[in-house]
Amino acid sequence: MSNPLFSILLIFVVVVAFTAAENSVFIKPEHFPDPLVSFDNNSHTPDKVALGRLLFFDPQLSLDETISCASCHSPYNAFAHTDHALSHGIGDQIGQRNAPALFNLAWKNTLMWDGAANHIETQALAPLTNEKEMGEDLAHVLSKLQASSFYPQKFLSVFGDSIIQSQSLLKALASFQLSLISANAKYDQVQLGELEFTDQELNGESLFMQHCNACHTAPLFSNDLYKQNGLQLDPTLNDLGRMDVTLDPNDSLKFKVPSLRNLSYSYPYMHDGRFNKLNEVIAHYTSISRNNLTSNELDQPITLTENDKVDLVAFLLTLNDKDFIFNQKHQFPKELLIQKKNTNSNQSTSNQ
Amino acid sequence: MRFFIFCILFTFGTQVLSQNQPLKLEFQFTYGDEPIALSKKYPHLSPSDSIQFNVIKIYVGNFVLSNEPAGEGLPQFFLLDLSKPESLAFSIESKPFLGEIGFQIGIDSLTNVSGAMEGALDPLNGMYWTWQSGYINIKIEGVSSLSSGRNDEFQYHLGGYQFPKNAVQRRSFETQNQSHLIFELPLDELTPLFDFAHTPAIMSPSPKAVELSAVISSHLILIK
Repeated sequence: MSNPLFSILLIFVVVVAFTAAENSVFIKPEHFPDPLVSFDNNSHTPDKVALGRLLFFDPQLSLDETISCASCHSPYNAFAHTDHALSHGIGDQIGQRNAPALFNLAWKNTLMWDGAANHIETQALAPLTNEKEMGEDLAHVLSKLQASSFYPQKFLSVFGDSIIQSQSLLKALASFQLSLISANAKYDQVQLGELEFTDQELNGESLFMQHCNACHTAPLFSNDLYKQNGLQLDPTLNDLGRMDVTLDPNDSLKFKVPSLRNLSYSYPYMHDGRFNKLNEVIAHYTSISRNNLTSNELDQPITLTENDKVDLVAFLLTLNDKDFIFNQKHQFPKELLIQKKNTNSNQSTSNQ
Repeated sequence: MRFFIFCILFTFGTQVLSQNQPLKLEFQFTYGDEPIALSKKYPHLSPSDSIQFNVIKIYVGNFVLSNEPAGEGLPQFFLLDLSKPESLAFSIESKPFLGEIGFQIGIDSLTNVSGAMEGALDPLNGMYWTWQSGYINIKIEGVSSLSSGRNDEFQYHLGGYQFPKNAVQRRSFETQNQSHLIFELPLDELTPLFDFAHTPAIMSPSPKAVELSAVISSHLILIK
């Protein structure tokens, strides 16, 4: 220990370790399992998350520059699209599905209602290039960002290269989305011993564990699997869900089990937004026809009294996470307005 | 003295054998023994029939030489793009190897689920499905009067990495050539096997994509 070289080395190791920990903004909630997403090839740093946030809210990513990721994934709606059964993209085109809420994405192996996206970094390519959503071409998006007055400097600062690569764009967008962690609802505070459920909520939790938890598994409230939940095919959409990806008839009408967190902010419900109220959802599950139902979890009919239904909803409301919804780090970045304003004034100056 | 010379030769020989050296790999797409020119019409099955190719892009990679174990981490891939002649020849580092080279035609499942990539695997290269994650391993597009597609076009975008729609193929070739290998894909032998009339397009992972990928890969030959 008296060796000065050893002491210097020890201090260096401690400083590096402390700096690395400080730089990472991904903190796993203590009552959550380990994340499924690896950060080995996409270090999770504040500057990358901030850049991803700018991109997420920037309508420049769509062909006519009217639609950003946040247009269909609004922070005040738990990054879903409240009041829209099906989301709309450029040119007022209506999409095929209800925009899913975005949070706790580090605990998902696959994304989108049918699991068509196998990684959060490449998922963004789907809405970017979908004709009914953002209608863009990746090369064109990169050229627009490259021509901006501020993005090249931002990418230089985060990725060490002012030439904006598709990989950097996708990793930045992924970083912001991975930073969206919802883990501070009343449910979470009860788990951490900070609050207690009311009797009504306790009864609701008991009913939930009995009838719902097999698929909507706590604490994420989704098992991240695809299930057929008895919804009949909407002939105006003909959406077969997972089967469209796997081509396996056994996957017909299966959709990703959504998390039940933040339900008050993310209605309407189901892949096609067919239910506006939680009561309608519960009415569906208590009246499913068992014919052609493939999910074992729903083998047994769910019978609930009117009081049970009220208690179940009371428990579901404990999954609303206000801190997540109103977290300032998730909102529209004012910097985007300032940067755009600067860009416009520079352009008008150069045009004079 | 003899022992001394033996020791020097042995040491030198061992060093030479253990040194990495570039192995040049070249790929040729031919039709009737001549290199294919994009958008050029070639005679096909009958005098009244013709065929032209507008796009030919194929991923190859994960090269394994017979005396080397498979590498660790994600394998290296190269995109052969007929519109970019410089992409058809490249070098890999190799030690002198013992008679066999193997490689993949297409992108393996691990790479497919590893997020955003750069270089040959950049989605900008037009070989990534955006609506459903995954690389297109082989893209062949063109025009044939036999095609039932719009404007006689045919489009084969072959990919898929999940069983049973895993379209990735692997081929091995025996060779004593240690410095420059030339592979050929004779499309005049392949196109009679393409069912232009009934299947003018394959655009997603499917059993047909797997089948056609196997047919195309099986026609790849080592000519030098």
